[in-house]
Order: sequence, then C-alpha cells, then structure tokens
Amino acid sequence: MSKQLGIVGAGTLGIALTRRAAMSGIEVVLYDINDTVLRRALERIRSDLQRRITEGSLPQEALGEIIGRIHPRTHLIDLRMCDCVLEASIEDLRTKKDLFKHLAQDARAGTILATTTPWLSVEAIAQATARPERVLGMHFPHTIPHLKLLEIVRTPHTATESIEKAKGIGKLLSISSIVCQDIPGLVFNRLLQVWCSESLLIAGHSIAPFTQIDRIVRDQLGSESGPFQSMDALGIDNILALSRQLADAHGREPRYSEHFMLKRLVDSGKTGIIAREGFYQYATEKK
Amino acid sequence: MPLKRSSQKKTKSPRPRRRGPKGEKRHTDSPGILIVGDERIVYEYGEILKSRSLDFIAVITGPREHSEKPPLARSPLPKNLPPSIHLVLEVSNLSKEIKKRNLLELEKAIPASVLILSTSVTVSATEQSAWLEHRNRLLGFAAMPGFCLGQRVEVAPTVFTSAEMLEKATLFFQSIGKEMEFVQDCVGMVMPRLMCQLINEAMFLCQEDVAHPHDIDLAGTVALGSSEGPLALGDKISLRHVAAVLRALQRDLGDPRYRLAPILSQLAVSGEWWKHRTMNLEPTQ
Repeated sequence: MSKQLGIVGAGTLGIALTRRAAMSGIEVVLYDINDTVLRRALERIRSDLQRRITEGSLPQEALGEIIGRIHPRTHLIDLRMCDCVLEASIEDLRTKKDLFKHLAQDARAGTILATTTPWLSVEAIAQATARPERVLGMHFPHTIPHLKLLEIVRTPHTATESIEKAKGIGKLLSISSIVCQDIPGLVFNRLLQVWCSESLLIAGHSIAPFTQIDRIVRDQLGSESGPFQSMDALGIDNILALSRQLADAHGREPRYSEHFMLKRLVDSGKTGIIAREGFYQYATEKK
Repeated sequence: MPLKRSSQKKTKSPRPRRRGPKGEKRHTDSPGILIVGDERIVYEYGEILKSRSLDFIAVITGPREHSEKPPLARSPLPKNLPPSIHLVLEVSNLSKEIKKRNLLELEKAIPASVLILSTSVTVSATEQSAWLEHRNRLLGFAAMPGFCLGQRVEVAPTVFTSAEMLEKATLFFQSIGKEMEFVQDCVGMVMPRLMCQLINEAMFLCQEDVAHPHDIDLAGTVALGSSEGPLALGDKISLRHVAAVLRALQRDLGDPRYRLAPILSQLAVSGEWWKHRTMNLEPTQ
C-alpha cells in the first residue's frame, strides 16, 4: 500500500489533495515549477489547519506533524521515489503528455502515474509514456468542502495491479472509490449536471421556486441540501463550466445544455457561498 | 371478474359484511374514499388511509406490479358506487388511456360535489380537467411508487379548480398528515421529474458501460447527498413508472433531453436487468 504520494501542481486541487494526504498520515512530495506558488500553497494549508484547530476539530500538536509530512519541491526528479504520482496541473493535453513522458522516465518500476482530469483522454496520456500499464486517471469530483469520491479511470492498457493500487490510495485517504471507463465527464459530473440542469429548468418553467424545490428534495430524499443549495456550495461558476465542458465533449447533447440562469448569476458575480451570494444570500462565512 | 376491495373498519363494533354491487367484499357500509389506478400507488395510499382509520374502496385498473404480493383482481370501475364516497384518488400514471377512461366513468358515477385528486405526473391536471364536465372538482397531485409516504405532497390546482374543492383537498391531506406544496401544473411536477431524469442519466451510464451499476449508484449518492443512488431509486419507483414520466415530459415539452436511454426502455418493458443475464452482473439491491 502506498505511503509516499507525489502531487504535481500546487493549485486548488493540489492543495486539497496534499492536505488530505498529509492529514491521513501520508508523506507528500508537492511539486510545482514555481517556488512562490509552493510557498503560498503551504501557507494556505497551514492557515486551513489553524482554522480547524480553532474550531476544535484538530488538536494543536497535529499541526507540526501534518506540515512535516509535506515536502515542497521544484524538480520533477524528486518525485521518483513516490509510490503514486498524482498530476493536478492545467487542463491541456499536450502539457500533460509531456509531463507524463518525463514522469514515466524518472519513476521507479512500481510507481503508478495518475492524472486528475475528468475531460482529457487518459489513454492518450498513457500512450505518450513508455509504461501505459501504469497510467490511469484519479479524478476527485468537486465536492467542496470535502473530497468524498475518487473516480479511478482505466484505459485499455491499465494493469489491474495499478487499479488496485489506486483503490489502496483511496482507502488511505478515506475516500470511496469507483472504477470507470475513459469517457469525458466520467460518472459524477454527468449525474450532477443532469440533477442541477433539471432543477434549473423546473425553476425556470416556474413550476416551483428554487427554495421550494430544495425543500421538496430534502423531504423526499432525506438529503441535507437541495440542488440549489448544492450549486451554491459547489460554486455556480463551476456548475456552468461543467455544463459547457460536458456539452462540448458529448456533441452538444441536449441533456447537458447550459441554463441561461447560471451565466446570469456568474456574470453578476453571484457564484455561490464563496461570493456570499448565489441562489441564496449568505451573511456569514461558509460553515 | 371480481373487484378487489380493500377497506378498513372505522369502529370496533362488528358490522355485517355484505356484498357490493358487483359481488365485491365490503367491510363497512360507508366507505368515504375511492382509490383507483396503478397497483403500487393504490397499495401505498391504502396503507396511509388504513393507518388513519379511513374507510376506502380500492380498485386496481393498471397492470400487475407487485410480484411479492398476492395478485389483485382487476376490474373496471363499478357502475354503482356507494353514495358515501366523498373523495376519489385517481392514481393511474402508467396509462393515459386508462386514466381518461377512469375519470370519464367516475364523472358519471359520482356526484359533482365529490373532489377528485388525480395524479398529474404523466398527464397534466389541466388536460385531465378538460376531459370532465365538472372541471372544478379535479386537482393534480404527485404520487410515485415508493415515495407516497413522504411528509410533503406536491399539489397542482388547475385554472378550473374551485376554492371549495381546494379546501376539501387541504382538509384531506391534513387528515393524513401531509403538508401540501403547491406547484404549477406540468407533467413531471418537481420530484418525479428530477428523479426520473437522474435515473435516465444513470441508465445512459449503464448503457455506455462507463462504470459498474454499484459504482454509478455510489457516485450518485455523493452527487445528491442522499442515501440512495439513482439506480436504487429506479428500482424503488420501478422503471415502468420512470419511463412513463419521461415519455410524458418528452410528449408535453417536446424537448429531446427527455429521450429515454435504450436500456431503460427495454427494462421498463421486460423488467429484466439486462446485464444480469448477458454479463453476469448483479442488479443493484
């Protein structure tokens, strides 16, 4: 079972994964080409942990231990001893292919190389390497504030052993994992998009206002939040981007068409909880 | 053909059992409510009424749905309904033709003052009202198998619904402990439409072999924040009902987004889990 994780890219997802892994007792080598980005990433992780300590959800003494497990690096070669390297960089196929080619050259034999993209072809990335059987996708859907699901993407070349290792990492991170085929959007995004899109259409057709839709859904499904509350939590800009990416990837499939309400809200800066206003208004910080 | 009757004693005093107009068994002399339509919804609303000690007659006019319960005889509506009937629940979702036939027969068999609460998830309440002479008496409501026991019920009055009938509906739903959620009259309403479209997407994922059904359901529980995934919800509702709602949405809204996943169409007809036989995969539990 993997104990040392490499993370490429110190953006939002890279930070979330690094924090989660370090809190789960895993040694993390966090790579970014930019030293300033790495430093800011560590500051963000530290401030987040500090907030948890203030809230009482984390003991004070854990802070040093967790931060001590994070090793910021600016050279790819420093990832060579990791059991798994998770790539969380920009969504560009050429960049990813190039990156994985280098990662595969440097990594030791048992290392699995994973991309977090839910959109680009994992198979295309795998084929750019000399070890496609070790390459797979590990997508962590946008479930702020927690990482709740891991979608492991297999290609026709991925070895079963690699899938099992990825599942092991999911277990170490205490995240439920599923295995899916290399299809744009994967599973979670498609279900979420249809759920949000249909809610918007129902509200848009004036069948019920969004507050009532949320109330009905919570009552019928026993869920904590309705679709509009979820969209506010996930970020309306993220939902809009999701609609567009799915529609592009699936030949303008009508089920994935974007609703005008999303763009209106985003254009008005009402992107959800993070902006203190989305479908609902929020007086205080996100809990 | 014998008519299936189900009713509940209102008082503890024994009443003589008599035969009804078509030979059906009767437990009381004065049932106040008639439930007619699809089997599973009749069962579920029957349970609700029983739990509230409300007398009722149940008539199944839809296809057989309960494999685990003894088969119920089916019958057209009796010509002579007891004069004590003051409320009708018409719960046919699977067939528009059967719903129309039931409502037209009810129109002849019950006085104009009797309220008809009719499910409007596959036919709008307004369209149903247009079939009737006394249009003011009909209100639409949402009922899907597996989801009748919730605290809230979506209710869709039509432009014809009178204040008197609305008041009667309010009193009835209060009497069975349900809170009404008034929504605009449109097929699918809120929850059935949301659930059915989500189930359809999960079926497309199955169709395309994107992931194992168990994995699709797991992703769905995370996406919805619910305890059940879309395929489990589909099993709970029954795919026949899901297909009926989606077809109604496609028909009334003319939107291709409600196109059924081919596997959903097949399962709705055959009831067989496609991969169970062909790929040796288990259906979701």
